Amino acid sequence: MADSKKTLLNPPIAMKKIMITINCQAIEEEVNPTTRLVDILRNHLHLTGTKISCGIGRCGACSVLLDNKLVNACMVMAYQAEGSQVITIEGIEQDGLLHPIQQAFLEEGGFQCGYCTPGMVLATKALLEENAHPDDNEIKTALSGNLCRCTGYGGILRAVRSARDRML
Amino acid sequence: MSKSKERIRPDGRGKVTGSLKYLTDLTFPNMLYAKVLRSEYPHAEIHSISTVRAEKLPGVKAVITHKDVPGLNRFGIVTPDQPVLCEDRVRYVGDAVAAVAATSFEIAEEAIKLIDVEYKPLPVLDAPEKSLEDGALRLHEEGNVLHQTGYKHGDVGKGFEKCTFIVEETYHLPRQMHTYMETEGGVVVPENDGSLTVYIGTQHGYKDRFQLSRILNMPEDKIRIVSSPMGGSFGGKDELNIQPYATLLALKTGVPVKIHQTRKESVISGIKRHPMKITMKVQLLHIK
Amino acid sequence: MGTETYVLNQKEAMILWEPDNLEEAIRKKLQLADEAMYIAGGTLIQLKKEQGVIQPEHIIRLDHLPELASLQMVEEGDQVQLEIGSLVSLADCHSNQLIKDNWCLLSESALQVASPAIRNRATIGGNIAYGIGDLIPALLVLDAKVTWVNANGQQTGELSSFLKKDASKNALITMVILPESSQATKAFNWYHKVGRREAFIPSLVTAAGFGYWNEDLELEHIRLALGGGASLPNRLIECEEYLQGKRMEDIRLEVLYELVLAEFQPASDPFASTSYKKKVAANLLVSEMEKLI
Ligand SMILES: Cc1cc2nc3c(=O)[nH]c(=O)nc-3n(C[C@H](O)[C@H](O)[C@H](O)COP(=O)(O)OP(=O)(O)OC[C@H]3O[C@@H](n4cnc5c(N)ncnc54)[C@H](O)[C@@H]3O)c2cc1C
Ligand code: FES
Ligand code: FES
Repeated sequence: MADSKKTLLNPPIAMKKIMITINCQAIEEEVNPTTRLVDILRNHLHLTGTKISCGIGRCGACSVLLDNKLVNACMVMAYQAEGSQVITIEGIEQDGLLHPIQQAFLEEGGFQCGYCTPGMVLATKALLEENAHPDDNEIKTALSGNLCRCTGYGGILRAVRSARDRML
Repeated sequence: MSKSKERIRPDGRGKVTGSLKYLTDLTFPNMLYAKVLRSEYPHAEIHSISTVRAEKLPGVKAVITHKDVPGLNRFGIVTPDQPVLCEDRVRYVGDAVAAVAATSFEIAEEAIKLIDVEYKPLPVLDAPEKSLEDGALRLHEEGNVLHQTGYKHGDVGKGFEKCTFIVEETYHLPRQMHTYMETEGGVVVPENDGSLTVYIGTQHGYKDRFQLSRILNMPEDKIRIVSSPMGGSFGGKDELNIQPYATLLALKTGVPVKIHQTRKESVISGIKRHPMKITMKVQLLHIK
Repeated sequence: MGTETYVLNQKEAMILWEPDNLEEAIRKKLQLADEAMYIAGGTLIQLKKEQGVIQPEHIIRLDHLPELASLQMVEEGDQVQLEIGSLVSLADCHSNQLIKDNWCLLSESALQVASPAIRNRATIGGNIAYGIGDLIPALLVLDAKVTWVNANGQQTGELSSFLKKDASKNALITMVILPESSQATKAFNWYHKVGRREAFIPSLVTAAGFGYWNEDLELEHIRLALGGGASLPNRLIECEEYLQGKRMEDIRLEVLYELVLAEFQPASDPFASTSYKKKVAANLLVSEMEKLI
């Protein structure tokens, strides 16, 4: 077949089956070329800890880890995540215990309304996995894609420093 | 226990784990998804609205226009003068003209584009001065002045005579958007006993109930408002936003209806702090 | 109910092609021409889609083609050069040690694009195809070349001419090539992106400079480039000509200032006027030269 590898969507809502591992669970999903990773998480799997706010990669509310890298789930198309490992906020507790980063956010009051918090926690996780001793500048760079409209960031910075110190 | 641990917020665990369900995170069985058609023009007459093509799109369960509002087709906490669904006139690009409930947001979005509205654009009144000009179009029956107020204390004229410095200036402040991280939305559930539960983030549960009761022509005790958790508001979710559309559609279809505005929809339709022009004369009596 | 029904608007339902290899990708693109676009990281495409920009209906996936993902030093005659596959992410352009050590301008410029999460997805090829990407001024002063494939087959040429010519039409960028970096001891370089805030903001002015002095303290090599906003980034050829070969003490900064104002023609946008951008650019460039002399 000449056009063998096509995935097609003509007529419109034609679907493609993809496999993704989400929080260590293999998932099979039917998607079309406009389905975003965030749509699968929130609408198909009801993993609503991943938030949606700007929809254009500007706020980080939808941050998840894709093959251990921080990405915006609103910017990744579902078919681009095929065969990948996705970790969402629901996947980082360890044996029912809060992850040390979550514990730090909780204790330092790194949130108010909490809508940005899952994204902040995952951005912090991506940072600390790459750099165990970030200074304030490195923390600010690492969180530069995550907006918080409530806190003014003071509590968030405190939480990230505290997470860094307790994870050493 | 450290100081900080004593101050752990009761809602904290759900927030750091993402398990807390915000109202836009909710899903109910048989739930439909809704979109609102907003005006194409900042100011125009509506000559006709046809929903025929939208209704034929598979997956569309209900389309509403002003004709579907059983009670007062107006909202406004202080002055109810904003149309829930415009009849014959739109006054800004966020004005709602129709709304659709369908089996997915994508289909609702597509259906919105199939609603045919004939507009006749009108001159745009985009500054208070223009609106006050003789012969300016009347925006509302009562005219173009919403509110006037005054306050006086002492003899200002005499005061000014005594001062060393007088500064008289006009200051301009831009429009401000609250930009809460969670855009407007939630779910309205029609209950078996004929009542409604409104799971939509708001700052004024009771005021929402009062206004919805007036719009729906339904007793207040049949409406229950669940107003939180909410992903920010900052004053911006003071007034009704999408509540009327989700409730009207839930009543019409008899099933739960969800709305969750995209950021773009939020920017277009969300309530803003209005821009201001302030003219002020300030006197300084004495400088050492 | 009538018999007529409507289906979702064909134009907006995207049709996705997943070619197995480069040849197939190119064939598909040439066949569909303006009706198709390549997708790499997809960040710009997704942004435009949400903004409501009408885009081609067919998309051709590149992001799974391994031949576009490599990054290697290659000997070319008696020189070595760095070949960066078009799919290399901006995060890797920033953190790769070879790039950091030898072409630090590219590393610096990559850090100025968007946020960490976007940089993990965004590619160097996508940034160039964007036409106004923030990497371009840095790549221009490094004399970068690109390799691309279009209806005329595979070609390699200067980035500056690729950006200007029709070459980019339907072209698939396969590689960015950086010539051996200068070992001159008296080399200098700088990169600035000016926006309305410090981080994660579209550029108003993006400026890059690279050069070195010879032993007689004459400016032996100089490259200057400016971009920003919706303006196509360009080298400042006249400014370069003025500076080229000059001894330090012969450089008149006030002349250079006027030359920048004359040569840089940025488009105005809702946030900044043309004259503001010119002024920012001239200030940046002149203050960088002032540091050297
Ligand atoms: C929130 C946000 C902020 C951003 N900020 C910046 C910024 O500060 N500076 C900046 O420069 N950019 C910015 N961008 C734009 C964009 O993300 C980057 O320019 C990025 O490098 C594009 O790469 P991509 O792989 O994601 O491109 P894609 O979105 O995949 O493609 C972009 C365009 O390039 C074409 N294309 C992609 N790869 C190739 C190829 N190999 N050959 C030919 N054509 C190709 C596509 O057809 C498409 O037209 C931003 C984007 C977002 C969403
Ligand atoms: S919702 Fe994805 S970055 Fe804002
Ligand atoms: S806590 Fe509300 S947005 Fe960050």
